[in-house]
Amino acid sequence: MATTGRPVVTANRVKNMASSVRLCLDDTRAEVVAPVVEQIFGLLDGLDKVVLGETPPAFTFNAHWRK
Amino acid sequence: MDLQFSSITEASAAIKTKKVSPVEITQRCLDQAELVQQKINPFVVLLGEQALATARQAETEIMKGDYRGELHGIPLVIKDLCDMEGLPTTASSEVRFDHVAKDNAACVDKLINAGAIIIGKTHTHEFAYGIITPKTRNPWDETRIPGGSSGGTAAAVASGACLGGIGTDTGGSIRIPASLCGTVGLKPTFGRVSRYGVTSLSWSLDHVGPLTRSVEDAAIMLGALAGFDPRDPGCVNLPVPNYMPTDNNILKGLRVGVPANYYFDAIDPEVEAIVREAYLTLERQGASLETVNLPLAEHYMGVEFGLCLPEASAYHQEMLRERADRYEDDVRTFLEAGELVPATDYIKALRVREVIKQSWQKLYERIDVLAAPTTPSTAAKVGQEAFTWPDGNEESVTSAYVRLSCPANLTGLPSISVPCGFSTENLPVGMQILGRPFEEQMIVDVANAYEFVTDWRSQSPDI
Repeated sequence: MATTGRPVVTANRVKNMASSVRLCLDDTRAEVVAPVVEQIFGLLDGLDKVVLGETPPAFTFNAHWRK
Repeated sequence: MDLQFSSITEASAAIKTKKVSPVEITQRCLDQAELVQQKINPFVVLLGEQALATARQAETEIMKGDYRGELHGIPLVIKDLCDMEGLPTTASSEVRFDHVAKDNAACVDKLINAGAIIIGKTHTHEFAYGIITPKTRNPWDETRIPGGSSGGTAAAVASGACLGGIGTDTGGSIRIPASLCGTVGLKPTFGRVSRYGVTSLSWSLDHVGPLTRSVEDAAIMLGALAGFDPRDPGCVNLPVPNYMPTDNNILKGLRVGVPANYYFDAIDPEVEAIVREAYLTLERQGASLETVNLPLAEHYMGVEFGLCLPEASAYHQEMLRERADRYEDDVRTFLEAGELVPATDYIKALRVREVIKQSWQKLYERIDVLAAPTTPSTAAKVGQEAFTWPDGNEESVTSAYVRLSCPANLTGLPSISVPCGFSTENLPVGMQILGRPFEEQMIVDVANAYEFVTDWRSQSPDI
């Protein structure tokens, strides 16, 4: 998959991202969280190499009504 | 025989024939639990009076001839992630200071209905989100961690405070502490055991299963726990077979997969040597060792974390905003980070999971089971942050332990960890056997056949 790389995950960027999901992080928390997010994005970016084609996600939904 | 160190099989035979009373064995376990609690703190709460009352009731039933089966009168423990009606489910967290369960978890109900005596609730890593279980210590060495997140259950089982217990496993949380504490730990196939009433870490990866001191005991507990439950949307409606091991010659001609990659890429040489010796034991019992390459191995951790982080953050969304200061720092950090994973990345992880599942199905055309180290190292020291591997690379303790156990969570395949030796520091080492979906009977038979010709299970920590 051709992609543009993600920007470096700085504490400031983490604060902005957090505000968009209505999570308030102060400077101290953002400093702690930023390297973890960077690490997770690194792992997730590695998944780009897998050819997915039409593969559906591995979740299920059961339309039966519970009795 | 020290009753509290007997197996469920041995104790149930004695109870059934009325040689031992449920009250007697429950009291022995409670005494031992009080002792070990001072040293390694496996328990959130001990339910002494309640347990003895249930034991007296079991004794009366058995004396009247109403014997319910192998778990009747057997003292067990429950990870404090599982609800017991009227009791707090703390998840070993201050966040849950006011949470009292209104109902029993399905696994608790199943054990109670089978006649088991619940003697206490055990510590977990906070909300099962970690592999340390910081409130508990390892019974083999109190300066070391018991592993997690079901560390309290593993420590209680290993130290004779009970005969078995419940754990949960999202990235290895049954098998990691089983390996580090020298017990058996069985993660069933995804959907085999209901998770109703169990605090979720990650809905798509969570499993419930037993920790015991023998493979037979794990089979007994799984037999009681397994079965369809419409209250858990992930639960599968399949008949429950008898899991008791039947064939000690199962290994004759059985194709046992030995991983050429991934599991031995970064590992303590002593642990590797012990597991490779276990392979030779399997071979001597007639197994055909087949070297296999695990497909898409470089993506296992990406999928594990890509699913677990956002799902955990979704579960904790409200609590994180209302009680953030009450979380331990490591868990809070993971929860905050998980909030920031885009939905498209999460769904990609779900799609890659499906591709991995299909690739493992193909892998199992060549093998019947896969055998691998459960963990790449013995128990870490309390406070230790990383392992240094022979090539000089460092890896965090969390990543190292989860790396070897998460494939069974991603694929949903059943996996049992069985003790396979001790390090020079007298710390236990585990080997895991992974089978095809819903073939728990096969991995139980293999693990039991291995256990039958070794004596690791006869060793107990000096506590």
